[in-house]
Amino acid sequence: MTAWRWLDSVIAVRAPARVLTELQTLLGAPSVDGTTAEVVVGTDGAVLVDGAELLPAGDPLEGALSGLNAAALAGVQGFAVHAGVVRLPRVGAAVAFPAVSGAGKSTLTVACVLGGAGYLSDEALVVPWGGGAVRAYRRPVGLSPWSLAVLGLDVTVHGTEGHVPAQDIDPLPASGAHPSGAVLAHIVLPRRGHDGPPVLTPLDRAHAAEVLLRRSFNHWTDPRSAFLTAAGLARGARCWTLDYGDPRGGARCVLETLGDG
Amino acid sequence: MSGEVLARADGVLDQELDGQVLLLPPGSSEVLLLNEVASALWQLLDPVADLESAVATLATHYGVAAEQVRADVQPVIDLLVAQGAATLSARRA
Repeated sequence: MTAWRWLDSVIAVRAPARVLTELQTLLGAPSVDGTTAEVVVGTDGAVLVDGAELLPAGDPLEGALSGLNAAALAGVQGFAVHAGVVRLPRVGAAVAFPAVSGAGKSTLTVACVLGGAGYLSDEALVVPWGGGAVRAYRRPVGLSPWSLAVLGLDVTVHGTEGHVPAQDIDPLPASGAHPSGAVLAHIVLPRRGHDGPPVLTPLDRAHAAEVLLRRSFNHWTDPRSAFLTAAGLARGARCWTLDYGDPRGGARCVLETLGDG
Repeated sequence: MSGEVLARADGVLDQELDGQVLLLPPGSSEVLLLNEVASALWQLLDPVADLESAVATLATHYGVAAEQVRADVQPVIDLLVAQGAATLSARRA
């Protein structure tokens, strides 16, 4: 059995040996802490999380990563929203891109990182209930062949869905300083498919708060706290829509417009 | 409309952000985002308002006929009541 700490959970993974080897490449050294959740991956790729079926048969590495993500988000102590998150260079504040799967948030997130931002997550904005500093959730980034080509990234990818270790796109300093602690300064709703130059348009905060709740993984566990947390995040941030076509252009627009705070 | 009272439901949460109101009805995990006129109506319920008076106040504020305001806010009232965010009752004599 091998385990990794993701957010507030130490998740044991039982999986075929080759999957565990790939996970060590993607996630780094396993944790030695006591485990709080368990992911079991069968040789056919079927996944159980704490005994409940998450996925039917499929690619075992993808299943393991999905299981880890599900276990981490199920065990998180705080408000979690489906979003890409980066830390702006210089000012250090965080920008969140709330969006559903497939909306391009991972590609936009990595495009921002390539432009100098820090990588916090391609999956979830996580803050304590009631608000506070953004927590890093540096899981491996999932990038399709299209995304890799658009970004001009030449990195080794793992699994059928192209996962890249976080360390390969944004290495942590040798001191091991943890990248958590950024204040959420901007909420940006990405809208891909725009033909012209990328443009950031101010968005009303109530709409942004509604989107945070709609995209939340766990608002239903504590609706009252989630409501107040989302409203507080929107109140403390500047809110935007980003219309863009090319992810690198979109990232440039974000970094140039918001980069000074 | 005559003789009706609209009141915020017990336990409803509201947050006003830049003039727009976001509501969480009691027992629900789904939020309601009110538009400008609906937000203004909600602010008049503090925590209860005579509907006729509230409509008259909005009509004066927006410079339109009370009948027009009433037609505009009726779907909002229906939604608030249906979602458990507000109650509509007859005014006591």
